[in-house]
Amino acid sequence: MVGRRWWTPWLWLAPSLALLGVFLVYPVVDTLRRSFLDRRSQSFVGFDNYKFIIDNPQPLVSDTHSALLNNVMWLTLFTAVTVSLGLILAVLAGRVRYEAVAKSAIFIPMAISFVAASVIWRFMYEYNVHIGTVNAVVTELGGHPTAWLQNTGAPQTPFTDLGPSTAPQPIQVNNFALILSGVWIWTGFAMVVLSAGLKGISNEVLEAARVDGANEWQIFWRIIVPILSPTIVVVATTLVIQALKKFDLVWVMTGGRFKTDVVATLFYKEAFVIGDFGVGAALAVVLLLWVLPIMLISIRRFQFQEETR
Amino acid sequence: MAKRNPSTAAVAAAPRALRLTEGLKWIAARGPLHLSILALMVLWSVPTLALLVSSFRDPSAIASSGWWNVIKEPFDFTVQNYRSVLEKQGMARAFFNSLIITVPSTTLVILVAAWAAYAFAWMRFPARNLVFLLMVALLVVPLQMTLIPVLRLYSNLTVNAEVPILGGRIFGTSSFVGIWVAHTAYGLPFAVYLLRNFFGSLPRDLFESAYLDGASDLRVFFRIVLPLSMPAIAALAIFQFLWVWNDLLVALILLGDPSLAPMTLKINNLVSSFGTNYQVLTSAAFISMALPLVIFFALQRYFVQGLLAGAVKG
Amino acid sequence: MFRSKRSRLLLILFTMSAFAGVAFVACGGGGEEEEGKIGTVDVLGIWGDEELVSFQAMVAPWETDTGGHMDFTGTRDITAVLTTRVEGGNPPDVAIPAEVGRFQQFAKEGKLTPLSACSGLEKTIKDNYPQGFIDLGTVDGTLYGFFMKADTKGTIWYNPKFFTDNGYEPLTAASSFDDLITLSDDILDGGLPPWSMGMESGEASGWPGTDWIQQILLNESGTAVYDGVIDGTVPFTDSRVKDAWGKFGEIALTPGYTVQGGAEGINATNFVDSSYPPFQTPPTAAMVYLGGFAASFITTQFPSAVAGEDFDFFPFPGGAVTGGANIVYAFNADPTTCSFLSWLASAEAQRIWVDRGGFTSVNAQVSLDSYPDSVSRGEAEQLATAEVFRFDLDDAIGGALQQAFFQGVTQYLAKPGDLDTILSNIEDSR
Repeated sequence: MVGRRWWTPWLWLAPSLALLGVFLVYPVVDTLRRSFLDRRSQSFVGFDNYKFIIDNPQPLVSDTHSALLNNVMWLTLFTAVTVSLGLILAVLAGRVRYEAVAKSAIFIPMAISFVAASVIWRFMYEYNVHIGTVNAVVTELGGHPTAWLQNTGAPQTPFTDLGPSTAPQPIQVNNFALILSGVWIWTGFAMVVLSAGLKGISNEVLEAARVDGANEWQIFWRIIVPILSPTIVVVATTLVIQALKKFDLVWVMTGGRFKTDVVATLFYKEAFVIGDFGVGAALAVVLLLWVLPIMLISIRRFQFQEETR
Repeated sequence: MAKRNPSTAAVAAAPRALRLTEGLKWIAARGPLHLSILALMVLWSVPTLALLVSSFRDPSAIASSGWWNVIKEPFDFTVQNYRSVLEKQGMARAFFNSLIITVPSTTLVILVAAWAAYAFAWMRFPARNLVFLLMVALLVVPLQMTLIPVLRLYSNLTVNAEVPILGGRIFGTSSFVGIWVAHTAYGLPFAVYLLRNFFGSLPRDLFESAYLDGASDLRVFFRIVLPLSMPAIAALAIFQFLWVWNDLLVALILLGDPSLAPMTLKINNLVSSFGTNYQVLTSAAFISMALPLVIFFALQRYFVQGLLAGAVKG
Repeated sequence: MFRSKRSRLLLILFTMSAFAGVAFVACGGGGEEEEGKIGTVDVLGIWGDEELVSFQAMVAPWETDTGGHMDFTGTRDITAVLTTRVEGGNPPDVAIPAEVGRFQQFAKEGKLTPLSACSGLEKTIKDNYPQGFIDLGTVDGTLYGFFMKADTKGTIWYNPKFFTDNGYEPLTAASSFDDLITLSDDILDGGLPPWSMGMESGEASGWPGTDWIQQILLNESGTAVYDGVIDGTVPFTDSRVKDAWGKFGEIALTPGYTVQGGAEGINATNFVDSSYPPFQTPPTAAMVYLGGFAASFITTQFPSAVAGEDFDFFPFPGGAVTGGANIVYAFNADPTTCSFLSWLASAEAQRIWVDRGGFTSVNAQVSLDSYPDSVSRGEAEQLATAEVFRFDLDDAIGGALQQAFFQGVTQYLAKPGDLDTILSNIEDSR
């Protein structure tokens, strides 16, 4: 390549590197630093902020244990349900002629902002049966209306009197309600990605299995799922990262109250409502640590892709 | 020889009853499939439908009867909610703020990322792969890690002069320029990843012949790479556009001036002060959804492409 | 090729709409401040809906006279927004919250301008406002804020027609809490839930319950205990405080007492909506306890309701009155800000909102005759003549404790058995 100096590539990279350095790299280091300082980032306090998170001394104002547990719930339940639903929908939609329309309908929620989605679901979950769709349906079917977003009881209580009325935190009605709205938004994403992966499975393999006498169920579990597993992993990791970073949805629907706080909303509360930058930074670091394993998986996947490139 | 057309003969000779049972069998076999898909589609659309319908209803109607009752009173619609939210609550200004924030953030990220992507794809330099890997690793850094330091940085860098016409400061907090730069930076890892992959997949001979002809990097970039990469750029543009349009957290923290608030921020404030006045909330929410929905329907293919590549974006 | 043309077209469309937007902004926006002229004042407050309309009406004459313009953002989440903006070095010009905790913190940090920086303002306040309110607005000897829009919180709203039709007697200041319980039981026996109650209020959900508790505390245990809770000498775990909570729980949680049906309904019902049941036709509840501002909710929802006939209040039993007020303070002393503040503090401006209802002024120059109807006059009178008056407890403390107090109420309603833990948690957030 004529005329290219050794520094040319770096010149081209410069704007990106500068922006990333200022907005991503420096802040990570700075936040790490602040997590060891006091609330106004003036004096060194060692691990006090992390102790705060572990000890949870002020559960009424900022319940760190609740936030951490809720994050675990989001990580597991949200991801599992979304991936499963997405997979089922991808398989089903692939078998009808109006596949594109079906996929669009499920996919629309991805286009709207989380804030608008929160408004939609606040409206759906409204306690007043004349306004809230869910409660209207429940009362039609003979149940009692429930304050879906405020109820911290066990998940089965709106529907039946069986079982305990309170379950251990975070297994509560309002968490499920919030996760449901998250599922509503993200299933479209899972479905689209898995559908693309599904198209990559050659028809001959499926036909051969059918000829051999396998029924649809077996085909699903023994052939489709194993072949799709890399794609499933990709979808799952994206969803896990989304679950960890979930701010808008929870903040606008409940503001983190009624024990629905997640680490992301608690971070905002601590840093900007209560004004404690130290604990806020510590919470952000916790988020980062949680996300780190995913980062490593992604990096390894990229390296694999690089080698095969 | 008789084997050649037994099936056709059989079908031709089959009595109508047999064809009927076959039809029924087909329905029985495919029925549940179609039913479940249609049911899911309806179920998925219900929440959005509820919002849309309610935004056109009178406030007292919203409070007293479910939105599904609209079927009984078909033409009892009003655009009053939209009018009031656009004028009184400042949603019109917020709409333009959203536009002012989103468009430059999208174009800037494409430009900056394309530069870097080209270097990664077609230039050789030491540690190329390592730097690329690190850049992409930044994809998973949660926004929360960056916000306090960036906020402090902006407060210190605030230039208090007003920008004419657009409003807001020249730089720092409450500044459009500030938020453009921030969104560009946040969107870079994904953009670089996407574009680099696409650039790298362009045929090598194109570049070889261009270099042989003595073309400089800049020429190749603008004359060959960019035009050929329109699909990827379109996908990236849509993805970034929607991401910035729907963002709440960055605007919440870096944009303090209420007259600069994008729609997400406005709706957030409306929810906390108008909690149960759904006529305001539903219409405001729908206004903010309108443009993304239009984009979605018009450019679904690109959006999906962006999303497929975005399977790695955090 | 087709694809690229399409995307280019779209890019053009976007840019065009962006420019259109810019043009729109240029025509409709503005607000640059010139030297000496009155420009735009950036105000952060809590009002939305009806209250906002009234506030805008109050500000309108100022805008016409001076050519200035008010840019108002209302959110009940005001503490969070205010903190974020001050942190970001971008405070509003004027803030009008209801709690004084954050106000005192800002004043101590030197972020606020003393009222003396605006000519004539401090004198107006000192001449016309009650000493108690002046003291509340003073930090370290300097006056930083004044109070607008006071609200008595000693009002229990009821439907006079319903009461006379069924032979119930509204209570008086001399009544006791037990009388309230007896009245509630009577109404319940008559077949109607005696109370309507709602805690939901976005970020601040739970505050209506705190109004109950502080009102009970002041009446049952007296001013010494009340003041002690504010300055910390009496902890929340004190038995008298616990007793007040228990009495509140009696009203909220006794089966059949509330039309909302118990804790879940109460926590989910918005406080504005909770003011409607006693005044519906037919009434679905008998009484609702909310501050004076509830009058405007009632008149908005039931435009034909006549004050004094269709809705009225009787004083909270015991006679002591708690109240709140919105404090106005500024972050700078620009000519626009000062002009705006002086207007807000004036009796002339406040009379505008008084006239509209739902506003009680503490400016001595606004006489009782200015009030449009017997209900608002009654509220102003209650504030002016109360023998025992105290500022809203959680607004006076503010900060993390106020948040804990609000949350504690909703949690208490859901799980009354946890009261001891809740109380010590609240105390820990001090």
